[in-house]
Amino acid sequence: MSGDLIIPGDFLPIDTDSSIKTTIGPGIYKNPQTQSILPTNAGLINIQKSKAGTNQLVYIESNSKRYTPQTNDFVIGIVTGVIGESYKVQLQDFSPAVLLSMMAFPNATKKNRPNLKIGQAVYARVSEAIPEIETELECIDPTTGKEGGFGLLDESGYIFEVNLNFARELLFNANSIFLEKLASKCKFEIAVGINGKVWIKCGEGIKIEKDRVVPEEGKPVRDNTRDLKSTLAAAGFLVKCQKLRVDQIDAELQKQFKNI
Amino acid sequence: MTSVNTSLLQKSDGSAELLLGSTKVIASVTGPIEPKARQELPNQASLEILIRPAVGLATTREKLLEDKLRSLLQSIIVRFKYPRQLIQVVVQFLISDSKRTETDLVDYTSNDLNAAINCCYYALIDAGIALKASFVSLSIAVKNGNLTVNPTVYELAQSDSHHVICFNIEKGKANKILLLESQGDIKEDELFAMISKAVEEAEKVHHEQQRKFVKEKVENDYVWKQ
Repeated sequence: MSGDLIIPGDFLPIDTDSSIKTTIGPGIYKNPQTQSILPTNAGLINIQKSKAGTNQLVYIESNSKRYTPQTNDFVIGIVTGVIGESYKVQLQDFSPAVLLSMMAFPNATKKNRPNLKIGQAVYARVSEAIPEIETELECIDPTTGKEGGFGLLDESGYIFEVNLNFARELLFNANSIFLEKLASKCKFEIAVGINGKVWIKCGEGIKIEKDRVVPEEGKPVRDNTRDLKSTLAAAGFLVKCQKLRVDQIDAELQKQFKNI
Repeated sequence: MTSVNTSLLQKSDGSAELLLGSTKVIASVTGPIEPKARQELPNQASLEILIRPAVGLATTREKLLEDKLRSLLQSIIVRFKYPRQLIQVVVQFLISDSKRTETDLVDYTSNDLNAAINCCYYALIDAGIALKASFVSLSIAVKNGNLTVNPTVYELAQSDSHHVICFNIEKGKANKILLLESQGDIKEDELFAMISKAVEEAEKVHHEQQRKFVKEKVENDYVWKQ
């Protein structure tokens, strides 16, 4: 049953026995008036039943480009402003801005505030997402209370956009081949936001001319252009992968890294 | 002859191009996005619908089509899922056969409306907007009790009456009329006969075309999956 195509208005092939607890995920809607459960998106249906048969999970795996925040999602946002004690963060162009409280950083106090500037990117977790009110982010790992990889993303990285289904593949599929293939060509740091933004940095990444360190006399000049080229090639590779079959990936990787 | 091409616009969240008979149209869907303050509704999504003609600027004719399209989309989109958000639908006609000749005064809208509705379906699916059900629209000309589906503009001009009819498709069956636009002379029993024939035709379009095109789209989205 799982993996079949389902489109809006189709019959939802789930167990309707009232003793089974049903959890609905993306693509499924419960009509508040009739209490009926219906598929609202076109995609591949996934139904998972617990071993005891008392619970079932149903959702539709589909692709889209527009992100709707959900609690506990890891996202990349761009700081666009400050409102009182919070930063205004944009997760996608033209989407409503979300809030990142200045207190939602590790060790932050009224006096010791994080110093983010407009235009900088942050990696954060969605701490509250209720459609009727403003969404909130935080940069703390909720289990440890520490940084946990969240916070400001280095400006020497490159941010690009991918489709939401591809972002989920990169973030959640531990057996995903794309990053493994990429690792055979270069060293990189990556942050994948479930909102379709990806931050990547190969070696030193993208550096502006004025930041370049003048080498001491006698030492070889460290050329940054290779890191820059690798970063852009890696980004180009991942963007292209969305439209390629698995057997075409190796050729694309060679093509992107041809002159590096 | 019908052909559909989805996700062809890079910058919009969903898009589709539909060629239906001699009408060609592109629809783009952006949303859910942040609305302007005056558009915002506290508990559901607001819709902004723009129709652009193949030639010249939008006139009252396009405003009328927008209005018809809005009444249809309002009832089919699960708007309560997107409170305080905006869904923007733009329909651009590329080829329109609304007039027989340039000097013709009669301007037929039914083929345009029909193509716009069907194209919006694919664009909404592509954008991943929640829909209560699928929908199929048909343009039908009736002459001496005989039906022509997807008539040419000449057949429209020759007909006794012509109709645009849109069905809600649930569980593979056309179970509700979402929109019926009729022009010309038709008797009540003829109208009912037309509707019952249109039901069969709509179900055929749903099973043979919509499913096929949507399947192609989903396969394309997951082309990288092993």
